[in-house]
Amino acid sequence: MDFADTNLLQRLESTPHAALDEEAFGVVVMSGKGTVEAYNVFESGMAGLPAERVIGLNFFTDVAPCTNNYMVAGRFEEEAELDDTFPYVFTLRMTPTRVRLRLLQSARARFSYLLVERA
Amino acid sequence: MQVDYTEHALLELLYLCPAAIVKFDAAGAITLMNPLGVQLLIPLSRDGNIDNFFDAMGESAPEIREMAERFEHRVGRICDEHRVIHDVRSTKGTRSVLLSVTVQKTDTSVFVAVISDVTAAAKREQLVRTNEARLHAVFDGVKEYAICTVDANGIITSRNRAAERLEGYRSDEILGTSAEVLLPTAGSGRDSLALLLEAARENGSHEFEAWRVRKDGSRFWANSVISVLLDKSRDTAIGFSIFTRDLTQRKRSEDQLLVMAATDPLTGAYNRRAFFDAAVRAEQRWRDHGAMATILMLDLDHFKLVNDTYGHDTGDEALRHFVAIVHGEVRSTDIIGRHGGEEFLVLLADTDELTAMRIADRIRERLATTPMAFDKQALTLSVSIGVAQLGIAAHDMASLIRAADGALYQAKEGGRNRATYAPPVSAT
Repeated sequence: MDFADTNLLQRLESTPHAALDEEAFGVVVMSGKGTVEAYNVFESGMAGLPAERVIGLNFFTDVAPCTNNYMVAGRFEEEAELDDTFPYVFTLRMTPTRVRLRLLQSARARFSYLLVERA
Repeated sequence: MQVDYTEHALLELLYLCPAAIVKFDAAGAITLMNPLGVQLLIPLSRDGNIDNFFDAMGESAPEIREMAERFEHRVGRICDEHRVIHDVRSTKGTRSVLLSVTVQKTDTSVFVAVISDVTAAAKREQLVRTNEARLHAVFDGVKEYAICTVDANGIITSRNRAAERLEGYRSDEILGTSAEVLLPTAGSGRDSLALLLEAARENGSHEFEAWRVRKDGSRFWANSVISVLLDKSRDTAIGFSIFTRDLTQRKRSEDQLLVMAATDPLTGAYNRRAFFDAAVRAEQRWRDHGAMATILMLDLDHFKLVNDTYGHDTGDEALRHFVAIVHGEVRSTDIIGRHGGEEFLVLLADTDELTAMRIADRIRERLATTPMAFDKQALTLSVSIGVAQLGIAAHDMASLIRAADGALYQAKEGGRNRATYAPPVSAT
């Protein structure tokens, strides 16, 4: 799949979570207020966190606290229809690392998605 | 107790730490940062990047860079719980966030900052402050109380030695006279005393802080508690006891601290938070009484060029020179605030935009005719100004400041060294 694909949300919705491991960018699948449903290999490799450790936790408060502000967590909370891509910073092993985030959410979709591409 | 020094454990500690930790060098380049650091700092960045600590602080607290640059030792504390305010914009509107920033220099080009979001704590602290002045008693460490008793009419019936020392009157001079002599001047003495005693009578006790006068005319700031003394049947006041503490030293320190906390150390202008507080009060006066208010946003033209050509010391001097000129052209009731590296705001109370434009033009003229002298050279500065009136360009202060910023941008685009009005918008 292409990170910038305009129909990415539909593609993700119709892909089994195990198959997300084949993607070349990080995928975090969330339900409710940010509960991690799936976390692909790319993302877990980047973050150094095995998927089993994070599934069931709240992504914004327990997995990636750097996203727990109005720019990321707040957007998922406030915007029912969300598709935005912007630069961000992750702290992999405490080193600031530039990434691009894409936030995907829709009232018609079962899950919400946070995608991470290394810049 | 098992001590786990593995790298994983250390990383996890930094990861879980409930405060933001950022390590950077003398130029501000960030080398290490924990996730909370990103969470708190990224809203301050313009482009979703946090490469440089000083740049991140640049708009909300430019003084932090200056404090670090001025610091002469190899190791030491640059700033301690320095309060930084910035506005957070979301789809729900704008709100203010208060950060507490502590920066320690740990080696020649190594700085570590610890940052916390204290917005909620600040709100709680305000509640405590407005509630109980008596809390001060615990922290003041005051050693003695001046105690005197007065009868139902305020005539002094007894005093202790501490009262003699504090008020300057020997007891034999003052027993049998009214306590009003101890309250500050100008005929209101008798009324003030009667009101204070009445308040104490009604509530059982009354506390007040005020300037008081000694026998020699000198003033001291004191906190007094007046308690009513009841007769045996506990229904008639037969007198009052007055406990007084000298708080002059605390008041001086508080006033000093207030000034220090409110002003930018380089230029003496209000810092962002203090200006914001004043702006909010002006907005309230406009809502309650229709009092006019206009904002000027001023930005020195080509300031980066001045810094690059002549150096940062001259750049600093240019800022001081500029603020001094602005001071000279505005009234003492107007508020000058520092909004960013070379951006300033002026809050003109009870002023419409036409008058504000005249003031803006005077500032530009004075700047053009008063070159700055340095190093045997003279440098003439110019400034671009945005003018925005509350009620015309916007209907709340945060939007007004943005409108002034827009007008400033127009002034720059239009060729600099000019002042531009922000366009009117309809009421929301």
